[in-house]
Amino acid sequence: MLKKDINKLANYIAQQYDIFAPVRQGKDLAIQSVQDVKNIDYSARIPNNTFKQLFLPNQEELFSFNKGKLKKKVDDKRAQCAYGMTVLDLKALGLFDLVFSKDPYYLAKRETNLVVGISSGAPSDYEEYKVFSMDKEENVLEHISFDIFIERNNEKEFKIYSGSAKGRKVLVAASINVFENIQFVGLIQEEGPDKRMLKLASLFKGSENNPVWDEIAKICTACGKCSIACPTCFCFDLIDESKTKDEISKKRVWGNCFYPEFSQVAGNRRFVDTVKERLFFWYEHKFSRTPSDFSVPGCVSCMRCFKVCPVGINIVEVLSKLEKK
Amino acid sequence: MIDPYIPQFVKIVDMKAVASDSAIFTLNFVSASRQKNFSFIQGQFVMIGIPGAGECALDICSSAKNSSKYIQVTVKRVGFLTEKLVGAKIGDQWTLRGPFGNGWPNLNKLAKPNLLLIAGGSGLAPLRGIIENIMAMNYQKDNMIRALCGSNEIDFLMFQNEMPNWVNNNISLDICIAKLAKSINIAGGRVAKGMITQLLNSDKIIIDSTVFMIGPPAMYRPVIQKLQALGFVGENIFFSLERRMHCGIGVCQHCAVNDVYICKDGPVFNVNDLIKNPDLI
Repeated sequence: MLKKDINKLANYIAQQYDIFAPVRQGKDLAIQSVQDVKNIDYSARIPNNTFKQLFLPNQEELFSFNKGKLKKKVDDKRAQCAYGMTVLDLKALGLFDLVFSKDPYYLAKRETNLVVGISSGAPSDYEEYKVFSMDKEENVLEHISFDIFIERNNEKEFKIYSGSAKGRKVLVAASINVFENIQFVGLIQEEGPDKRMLKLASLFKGSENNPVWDEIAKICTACGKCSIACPTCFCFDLIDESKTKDEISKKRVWGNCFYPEFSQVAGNRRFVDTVKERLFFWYEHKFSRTPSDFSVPGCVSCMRCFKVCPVGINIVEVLSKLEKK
Repeated sequence: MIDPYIPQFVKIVDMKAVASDSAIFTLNFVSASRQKNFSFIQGQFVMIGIPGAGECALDICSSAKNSSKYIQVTVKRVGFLTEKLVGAKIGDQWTLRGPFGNGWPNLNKLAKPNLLLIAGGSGLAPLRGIIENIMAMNYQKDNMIRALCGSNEIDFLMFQNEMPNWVNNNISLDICIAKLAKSINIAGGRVAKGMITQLLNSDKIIIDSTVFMIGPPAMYRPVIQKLQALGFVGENIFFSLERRMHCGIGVCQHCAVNDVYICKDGPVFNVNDLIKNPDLI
């Protein structure tokens, strides 16, 4: 399949959905709302920002109170398409599917929105991404959840996969008839939970006093950019906000464990207080708590945290220092 | 699908001051059928809110036996939301979500049925729930109950007006106040000056008991050490923990301690849980 066929697909999707896709910005890629599908980048490099906004907006109204009465939110927004999610971002989405498996607001977005994955080169781009948080796997596509997946080979030709009935419907409607069906079998490999993940998780037990945390706590400014940039960070706050004179919104907004209020209770006591404690909390969530909760890694190795970090804290180096101990 | 964030409305039907900075509120669900069907386990918490001011986690301090008639919560004035909560009037409406978490172990299934209750500061609110439940079950008829209560100042000691009733119901009571200016008696007993650990020096402590403990974080380690030195074993020492909470269902991460969520896996733990996760306290 050639680029023009892919553009045909993208054009069809654009009629039904608001497309958010990677677009070149200088040397970098940014995920943004796309009007002209010709601007979409198919290199499958990691964009600077993530798609999580489409599934867990940085702020969303859940419902509101109007003069003491509860008013449910009517979502009249046009459906969105997350177009061009890499394998790593799809793994992060898979984790969200587990975390928010009973969350009606998340599930509504998952049902309405369309997910289109891409890869470039080999079926998985693990070599290029230098994946560090999990083992490399063979049959990647069976273990990520998507509606449509576009694979570009080294000759710049495309192959299309469908991963859901919704995806197949879109493909057929866009007159794309050559595609392979993939059956999603869950994030966990047939041979059981990822060995690399298990090894890292066991490293974290009792590692609070490892010198590496003091080392990075000395330079970390607790700005929280890593959490914002991370495709797997999903902490949230529930807040009340005035909407009109009579109406108050209950909103879910992104939380950030680097901010002092995150664990603060009455009397200004903070349970996760020092920068060192907050750093440990962040890492522990990815490499210990998430594996313990869901048997999947809480990090997909995208390196966005390193890219945005103003003091250059490198997650790979942090892990290798932990491993040396 | 159940929306875990949608609250119910409750109406304040009664309120009373219980200390200089705190008050107890009796709540009824606005929906009578909701009230009739409401049940909880003693020690579970609810998220109480005022639209526009937010929500906070509060322990239910009435007996689980009366859950179909009313529930009570005690609020101490400590911040923006609690200031508004304490300032509420009879007839005002609040929101309620829950109950959440795991409560205290079932009294009828305790290996050591005698109870040693230890509460410091705001911990007297959950303690009052346990005592209300004991009295509603008439559990004190066949078992020894001793309550040790501590507070920083006498003015902050909650439920002084209810304590004579506790004592009349055969619940032994010892009180200590850290900053005690003058000698004082409450419910026929003399109030001691000092920290709560010193109440454990009494020869009236029955080692053959289960401990339920609620207090500020700083209270737990010294009290647990003292209890263990006296011969109490970890599996019979239970305590309840406070954390910032938003969702109440183990998703938002605010209350995570290593691999444990206080809201979902707690708030009640026992000392054996500390071996697996010493960071709990």
